[in-house]
Amino acid sequence: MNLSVMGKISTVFKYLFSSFISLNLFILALLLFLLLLFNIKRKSKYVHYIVLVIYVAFMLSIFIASPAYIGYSIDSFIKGIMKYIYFPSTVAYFFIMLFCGGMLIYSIYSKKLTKFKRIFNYVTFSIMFFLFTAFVVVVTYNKLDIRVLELLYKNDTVLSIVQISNFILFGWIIFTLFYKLYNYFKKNYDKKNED
Amino acid sequence: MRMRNLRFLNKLKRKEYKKSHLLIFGSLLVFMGFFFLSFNHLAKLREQLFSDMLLSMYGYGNQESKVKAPIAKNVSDGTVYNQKNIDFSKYLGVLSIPKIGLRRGFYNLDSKYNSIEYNVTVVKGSTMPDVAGGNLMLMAHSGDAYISYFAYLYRLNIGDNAFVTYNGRDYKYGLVNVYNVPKNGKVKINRNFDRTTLTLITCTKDDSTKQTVYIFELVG
Repeated sequence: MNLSVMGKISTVFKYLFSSFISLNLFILALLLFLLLLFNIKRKSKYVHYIVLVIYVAFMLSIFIASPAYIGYSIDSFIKGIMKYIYFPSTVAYFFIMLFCGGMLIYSIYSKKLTKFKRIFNYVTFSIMFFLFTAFVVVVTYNKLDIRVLELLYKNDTVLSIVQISNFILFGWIIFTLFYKLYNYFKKNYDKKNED
Repeated sequence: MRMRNLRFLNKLKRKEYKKSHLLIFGSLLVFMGFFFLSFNHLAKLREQLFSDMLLSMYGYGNQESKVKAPIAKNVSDGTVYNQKNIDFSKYLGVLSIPKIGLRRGFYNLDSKYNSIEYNVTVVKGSTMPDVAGGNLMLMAHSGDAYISYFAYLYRLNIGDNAFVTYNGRDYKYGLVNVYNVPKNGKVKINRNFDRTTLTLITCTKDDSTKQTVYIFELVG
């Protein structure tokens, strides 16, 4: 448990040479790396495809060998995201608001944004700021402990404010992603009509 | 200006659809399709999250833990259930099985929420973990619906642990036996009467004619 960095490295090396399979995995990773390295000059597309196929096959074999682990990892990841949406820690909520502040400043000064997107951003972040201020006011007025989430979220007003602001942010993220995707399609796929 | 208007009108007449519109519409359809397909699973994860949070709120700490019974089914999307608001402060105890991420409270036998249509259900004839030689019997649906709390019991192996929190005390059980019985409203319980046991009953995976019984014995 209390190994030094050198201790941890030596433990990994011991594992590396402890069995046939670990040695094989190491050699495979080393070969892939060397293949890509030497291909930098040659720029052969076939090497890229081969390495990609090997990597995908490797990942698929892990998925097939340990489906429960993969399922558990994905479920935990999704639950983690849901926890940030429904019951964010106050630290996370604070950093979410900093992010909104940054995006608001970007919206004000960016020359690339369209009028529509700019207005959409202003509306979203104005609501977010109002909700965050309301959150701070309610917590202060009710003398709630922001460190203990279980006690904090027993208050329905605080819970509603936090969840609604996270839903709005989530909606903004989804909308922005699709907006960027639309701009990408427009730039790369729409015919340029000859006027 | 006139030329621009003419061009616009011509476009409308020809009903030109831009590729970008089609592509974004297709992307939206894919996204919505993926969302609807995974909706039930997401709802189940959300329910687990809310359950954990509400259990934490009401004082339950984290921990790594031939009866006449209602018939547990493999329930899926098509069935509609009336979800009433559940009062978590009235849990009698909590069942948790760390291996499958199950953590769910159960109600008193007399509670209106002690129903397989809402929750993990205490079966009539059960005794609580503090009764030596007794047997706590819990039932729930399997399948992929919102209330399929025992959906992943089939992943358990002999020796896996389950925990029951009751009256402020944690009881640790180890799985000793798994067997199937026909689904006919009666469940045969094969257990050691000298040991305090926990019995979980649910519908057998991929078999709508049988129920699976999981017998756990108290180990600590």
